[in-house]
Amino acid sequence: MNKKIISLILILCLSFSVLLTGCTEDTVTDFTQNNTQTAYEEKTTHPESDLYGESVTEKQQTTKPANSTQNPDGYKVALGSIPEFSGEAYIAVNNNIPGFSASDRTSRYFENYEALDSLGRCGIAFACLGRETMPTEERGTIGSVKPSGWRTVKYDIVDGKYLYNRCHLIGFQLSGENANTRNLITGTRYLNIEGMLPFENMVADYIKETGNHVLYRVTPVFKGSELVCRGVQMEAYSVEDNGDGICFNVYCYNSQPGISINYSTGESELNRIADTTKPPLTTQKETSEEKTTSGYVSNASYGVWVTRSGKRYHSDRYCSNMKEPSNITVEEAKSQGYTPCGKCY
Amino acid sequence: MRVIICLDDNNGMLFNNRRQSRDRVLISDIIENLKGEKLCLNEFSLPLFSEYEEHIQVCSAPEKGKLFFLENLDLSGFSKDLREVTVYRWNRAYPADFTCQLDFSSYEMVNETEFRGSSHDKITKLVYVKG
Repeated sequence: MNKKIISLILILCLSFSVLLTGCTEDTVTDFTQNNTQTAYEEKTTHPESDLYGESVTEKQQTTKPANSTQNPDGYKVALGSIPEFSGEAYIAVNNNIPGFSASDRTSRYFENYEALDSLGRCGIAFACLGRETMPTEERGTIGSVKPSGWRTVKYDIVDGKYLYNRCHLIGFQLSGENANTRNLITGTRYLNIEGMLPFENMVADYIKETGNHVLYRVTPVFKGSELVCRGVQMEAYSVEDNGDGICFNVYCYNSQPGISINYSTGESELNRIADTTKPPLTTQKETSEEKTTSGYVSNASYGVWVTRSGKRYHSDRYCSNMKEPSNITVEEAKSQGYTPCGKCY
Repeated sequence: MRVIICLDDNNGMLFNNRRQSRDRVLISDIIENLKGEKLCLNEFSLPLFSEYEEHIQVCSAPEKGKLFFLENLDLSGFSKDLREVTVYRWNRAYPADFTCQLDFSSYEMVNETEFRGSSHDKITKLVYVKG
């Protein structure tokens, strides 16, 4: 009888300790140190860790911060810890060390897209990318998808005019995913081109060159019930060479220089430089002088793009395939003899 | 002193202590143009040339009279003795936290060629000589 009681107590103690171990985020695993044992135990305790990952190289907070992401696990970047956008398209998170667990480390390709939440917002997109996941067909149309917070609005100061793009969480060149609603968010042109695309390019070209696989996770970071995310966290780690080729953990801002965004609704307006009652949105082309007089930031203060050998100044950084363009003011461009480009002006 | 570098659209070279990109055809192009000369490079670049050990020499930094493949050093620090710079442009934008700070205004571009890489649609090779 005594033996049965002792056995029962031992089993209860063991079960309780397993529960504690599985639930706390304080159990830290360093993926780069290949702490397989700990990660395996965590993963068997929480099968959903396939999607969320559970390990980080530094301790993360265990409670949801006030300005947290939608991820309740708390190991992801906390919005409150991200500095305000100051003109840099992205910043490193956790010293660029991604939060994949050792058990995530696989060279078998897969793609996982979280279901939309009750507000219609995208969740985490997680994949092991390889040549197998890359597109084999031409890119299709995605215009039918209206991600949460979607608005169609144009500004002269935006490259390509349209403020918002349907941004793939995992880019088409990596996943071959077209109009997958779980993979498309409302993102600024700046987020798409200056923030996310360089990382997608780097990963895509690495995979093409080496044939290796890359663990890749993109997490849209929402504040509260806002419909437009404040930014996206991008993590990547090359599997076969243990991160020698690809290893990053960054936060890309869903911002657009010169434009203020209401993240709750997707509404936007040009930044004001003085008191004004000018209506916020414009779909009509204004000259930079008109904008200045109406109290809005103009192209003059945002700058234009020129090259040493060129004779035109451009609003579009990528117009005419410019090599090493410089950003100067319209006034400087005019005084140096440049004239507006007929294509982007 | 002559140097070879690879740059993206924003003159980037590295991100998080890793090269932005690589391409076998580009490496092959470098080797083919050595014409018997040894290519100097530091340990960081060794893995790229593992198939061409007979053509390379490990050096810590660029030296006078030698050709150096440079990835993780500040080129502007060697500008005084720099005679020629060969720039391979990826024609892609990559993330960067280490960029080329060399002022090319005192250099003249004497040659420009393009070729298709193994993983890049178009790589542009530009040769600059100090004027």
